[in-house]
Order: sequence, then structure tokens, then C-alpha cells
Amino acid sequence: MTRTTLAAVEPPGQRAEEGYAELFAAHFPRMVRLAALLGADDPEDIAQEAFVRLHGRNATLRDPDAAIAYLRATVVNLSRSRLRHLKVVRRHAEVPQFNEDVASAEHDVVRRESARELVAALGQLSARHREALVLRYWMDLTEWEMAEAMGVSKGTVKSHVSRALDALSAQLEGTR
Amino acid sequence: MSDLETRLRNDLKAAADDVTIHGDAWQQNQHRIRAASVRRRTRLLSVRSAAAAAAIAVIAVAISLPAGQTESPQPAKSPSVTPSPTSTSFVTRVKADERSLPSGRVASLYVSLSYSDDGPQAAPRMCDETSIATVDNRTGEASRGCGSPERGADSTAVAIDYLNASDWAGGRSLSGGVDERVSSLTVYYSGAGGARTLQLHDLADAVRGFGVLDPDDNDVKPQRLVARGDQGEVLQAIDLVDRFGDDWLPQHDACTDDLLPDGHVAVYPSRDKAKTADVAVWLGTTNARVSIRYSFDDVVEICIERLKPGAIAGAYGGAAVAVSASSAVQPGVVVPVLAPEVASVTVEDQGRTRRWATSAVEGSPWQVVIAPIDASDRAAEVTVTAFDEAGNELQRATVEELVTSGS
Repeated sequence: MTRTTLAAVEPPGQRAEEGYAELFAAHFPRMVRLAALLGADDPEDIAQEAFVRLHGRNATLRDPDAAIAYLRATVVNLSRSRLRHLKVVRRHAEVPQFNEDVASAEHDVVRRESARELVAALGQLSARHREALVLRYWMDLTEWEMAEAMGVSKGTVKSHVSRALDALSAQLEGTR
Repeated sequence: MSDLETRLRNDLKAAADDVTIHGDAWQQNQHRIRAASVRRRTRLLSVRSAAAAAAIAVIAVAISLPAGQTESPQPAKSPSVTPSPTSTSFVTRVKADERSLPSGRVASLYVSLSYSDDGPQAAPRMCDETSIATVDNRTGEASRGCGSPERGADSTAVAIDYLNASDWAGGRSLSGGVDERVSSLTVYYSGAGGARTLQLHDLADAVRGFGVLDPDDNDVKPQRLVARGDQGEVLQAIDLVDRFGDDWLPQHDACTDDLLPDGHVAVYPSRDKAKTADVAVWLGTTNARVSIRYSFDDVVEICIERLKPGAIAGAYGGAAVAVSASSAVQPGVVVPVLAPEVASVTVEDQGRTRRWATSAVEGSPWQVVIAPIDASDRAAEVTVTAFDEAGNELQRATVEELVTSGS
């Protein structure tokens, strides 16, 4: 990935604001979904916070690749902090809400049930393991991009993914 | 790719597709950015000289409420709460409570601090928002309100810096913020509702927010709020009936109602077994009945008509044992009614001090102590002192100061 980080710190002008708006439209839903899959109880709040922090970083905002990487890392960090906080108060694991009242074909019902079971199992993994699986299998990030988002080395990413798959497999076995 | 990896891809996609995103996300984002901008300016101003600061105009923030969200109805029971002004930005919003409703919908209570355009020195306001939504978050409604800091919030006597009561479609909510000295915040419920320690959520400016939903169909209601420090010392207690009025709780009258839960009963220890008496205490919402049943079946009823909001809510002091005309001294009893944060009391009579542990009264958050004294005619002079679990004195008063009325 090519990255250009400009040293000059200037107030974001009209162009930067337009770029920010485009970035928001294109990536806000994805960042909400990322926070939700990572187990955050208020994913929109986390995505909003990540975008507000990005807005304050004029230099990062000028490079779309850097901005997206920054957003991913911030959402991962905020979700992890939120989960740590929730451990104290949460009585039972919450999973992203599923839409129940839409009439579904049988295939859809099976798919939703499978997804629900998998997300519940993900919720039992450590934050790092969950991050590794979501970034790899839902976001399709490269190991380098995952390392950047998780704040770990590339080698650590590999071992996280491998161990997370084992842990997830064991969780799913345990629910049967 | 393994089966598990294939499943991961498919199921994560399915789960992600089901996450709902609100339509006003961009407006919310712009609100937050403006609020952050005001806060940055405020911090900058605070380090400049007063003269320079006075010369700098603070850019006003004019933000309208997000489209599709309704303005809060005026909270009926909290005079300090007003509908949120359109010039307010919501920041650091956290979910403080959540309840599943009988309708199948979910009520969520959010609290946030908001900074208005009243200038850099203006204290932030505490806002609460209750949203009721279907489980899938597809449809819903919200009510919202904001309140100013409590009077004296900057003083050490006040630890609960914000306290709002709001109405929403399915009940009421209680929310607010505490200062950094508070380690735990407990809400005591009316009736047999017990107590609940509330989660404190970090907000800005060293304020931690809290909130509790109080659905209409709940039999028990929040009655008292107690903030404690890290040693268990009571920093502040708020009687919610005193604060929000008698309508805050459904009234149960201990002095006139016949159908009361079991009262607290103690056998009065008399040296003369023929003259023993059962001293019983029943607690109502805001009053108490002390009943003295003598061994020869005579009964005296005393009503403490109005419990006070302090740690010692009321007291009876007087005779508890019928004595023959030949007795020179009539023994007595002192019955202080105590708030739930009281751990023990001392009863000081004629220079002699005895410490008593408190006893809970079933079906009530209040507690009592039944303390015999040597002479009933001195009851009014007896001094009662209440202590918290850290041993700190909460209140000290003579029975005369505490007594409201006899029967």
C-alpha cells in the first residue's frame, strides 16, 4: 500500500470537507458493522467517535488509504475498550441484533440461525481472536493491514488467526 | 479454504447485513464535530489570560435536533429538567440502562453531557434520552431532556452533580452524573424492591453518568439514591420523594392501612416479665407506625406522620412498658427510623452511650433500632447519632428534635 502523509497541518478546507463527507458516506456503514461484529453494544456510537477523531486529523484526512486504515484501527481499539468495560456489567453476551419480523424464505431462516450461532461463538473468544477473524474473513484485509488495525506485528496476526480458528471450532463444537 | 473458513465468510456477511444503521448518522456526526470543536476552543480559552479570553468570541453552535426524532415531552416531576434546546450538541453518549418491555420492544436509556453556546465558562448540561425500539431497531420513538447541574454541585457536600427525572412512553427514568469521588451509587427501591448498584459511565469533565429506567408496570420504584466513596463513606444521599414530590411513589400509609406487610417486631426487655411488651414498627412510604402491645393485651399505637429526608428519618421516644402506680421510674424506649445508608446508631442517655446495629424492616428500604432507656420521661433528651459503614457520623439529633408527633 502506498501511503503519503503530508507534514503540513492546515485547517481542512472545502476540498477536505468534501473528502470527509465522501469518506463518511462510503465507509460509515462498514465501520458500524465492524464494531457490531467485534461485539460492541453501541456500534454506531463507536463508528461516530472514530469519524470525529479522524476529522480532527487533517493530515490523515488528505490520504484516503491512510484515513480508512486509521478508521479501522480506531474502531478496533474503541470496540476493545468498550468490551473491557462491558465485561463488568454484562450479564449475558449480546450479539448484533437480527431482523426477526421480515418474512424469510427457508434458506434465509437457516442462514440467519447459522449466523446467529457463529456470532454467539465469536462472542466467547478473546477480543484479539475475534478481531483477527472479523478483519480477515469479513473485511478481507491483508495480514499487513490487519497488523496495522490491531496494533500488532504481521507474525502475530498469523498466530492470532490460527488460534482463533481453533478456538472458534471448539466453541461451535461445544454448542452442539 | 476449510469449511469453517467458508462458513465464517458467509455467516459474518449475513450478520453484518443485519446490522441496522440509522438514517440520521450524518447529522449526528456533524453535531459531534461541532461539539468537539467547541470543547477544543473551551480548553484553549482556559489557558489564556482572562483579558485575552474575554476578547475572544466563542463561536456559537447552532444545531437542530436530528430529523425524525421527537422533542422530549416536558418531564412532569423534575423541575430542573427542560427540553433540550436546539443549540445543544450531544457528546459522549453512553447507554446507561436497557429493559425489555412486555410489548416485546426494548427501552434504552442513554445519558450524555452537552455543551451549549452559553460561553466557555458555562457548565455542561446532562441529557437523557430514552428510545423504545423494536428488537431489530427498525422502528422506534425517542424522548429526550436535559438538566442543569445541581445547586452547589461544586461544593464537597454535593457528589451527585446532576439528577434528572424524565417521562417516556412506558414509564419514568432517573439519570444524572456523579463527581470523581464517588465509587458506588446505589438506588434503594420502595417496598421489597431491595437495592441496585448503578453502573457509572465515564463522560467528559470528570463526570460519570448513570441512569435507571423505571417502567410503569414495575411494582417497586426508586426511592433513595446514595453515593459512597471508596471507603464506603456516604458522600451524599437523596430522598427522591423529598426531591420530586409525593407523587414520585405510590403512597402506602402505615398509620391507616390495615393490610401491611409484616412489621419489625422486638420484645421489649423488661426486668419484670409480667410487664413485657412487644414493640413493632411498620413502615409506610413516608410515615411509620410504632405499636406497643403490652403483656396484658393493651395496645398503644404511635404514628410518626412524616419521615424526613435525612439519615434519621424520624423517631419515637417514650414509654414502652406499663408500670404500676407504685413504680417510681417508668422505663422507656427510643425507636429511631433510619435511612438505608445508616449502618449503626448510638443512643446517648444521661452520659451513657450504647451502640446499636440497625435492623431492616421487611417490605421497606427503611431500618429501625429499638433501644430501651431507663426513664421514659427523659426520652426527649436522648441523643441519637447515625453512622455509615465507614464509621462516619451522618446525623446527630435529640429525640425531641426528631419527633414529629405522637398518636
